[in-house]
Amino acid sequence: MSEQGSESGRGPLRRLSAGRTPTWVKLFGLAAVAVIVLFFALHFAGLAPVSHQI
Amino acid sequence: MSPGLRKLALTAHVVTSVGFPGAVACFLVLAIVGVVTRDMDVIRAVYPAMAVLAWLVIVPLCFATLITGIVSSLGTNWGLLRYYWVVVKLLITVPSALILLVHMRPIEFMADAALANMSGENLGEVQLQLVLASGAAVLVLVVATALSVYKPRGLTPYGARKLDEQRSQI
Repeated sequence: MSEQGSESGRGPLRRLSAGRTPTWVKLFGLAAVAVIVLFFALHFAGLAPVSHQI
Repeated sequence: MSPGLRKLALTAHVVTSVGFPGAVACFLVLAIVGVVTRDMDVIRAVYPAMAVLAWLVIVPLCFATLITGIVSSLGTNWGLLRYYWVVVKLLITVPSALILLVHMRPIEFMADAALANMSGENLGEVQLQLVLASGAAVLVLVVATALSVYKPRGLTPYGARKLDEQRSQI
């Protein structure tokens, strides 16, 4: 966090990125949802190594 | 926040947030050794060591990373909710802390079982769980570190609004 506000002073670029969610954020969100869905799918299929007896 | 204080907070955040995945990587190595070894002396040493590492290094580093990160972001123009990369790091760190606390129970369970010569049910399942969870944690924390280094572009709607407010005051 040593650089301060890299997008300040770049009007058009800032508006472009503020107006829509960046692609990397969408991909990150999709990956997170996929991992959570996969975990619960494996969990309910009894394949996830989660100990219930503890 | 004064420049000196900001640098102190940043130094604390870098030290803790880089040490955190390092400590989890050590935990992962011990967890793998615990799974592959057949030597009971090694098992009796590994799992209690993992419990000590988790309670005295990993948990403190996890919360120190979270606290210093929040202080650093709030004390600078980055803010806590202005840039997507900061928000994503927060969304990684908070669930990681919660998942870590949930996993303290199986860690303690394995330490007790190891000291009792691995007597107990489903030990293999718990051993595998610790390997997979710590492996996933290392990956997630490397992603968080990469986000801090690359700082990918993207203002949140709140960040854009704040920036407009700052500009209109100039």
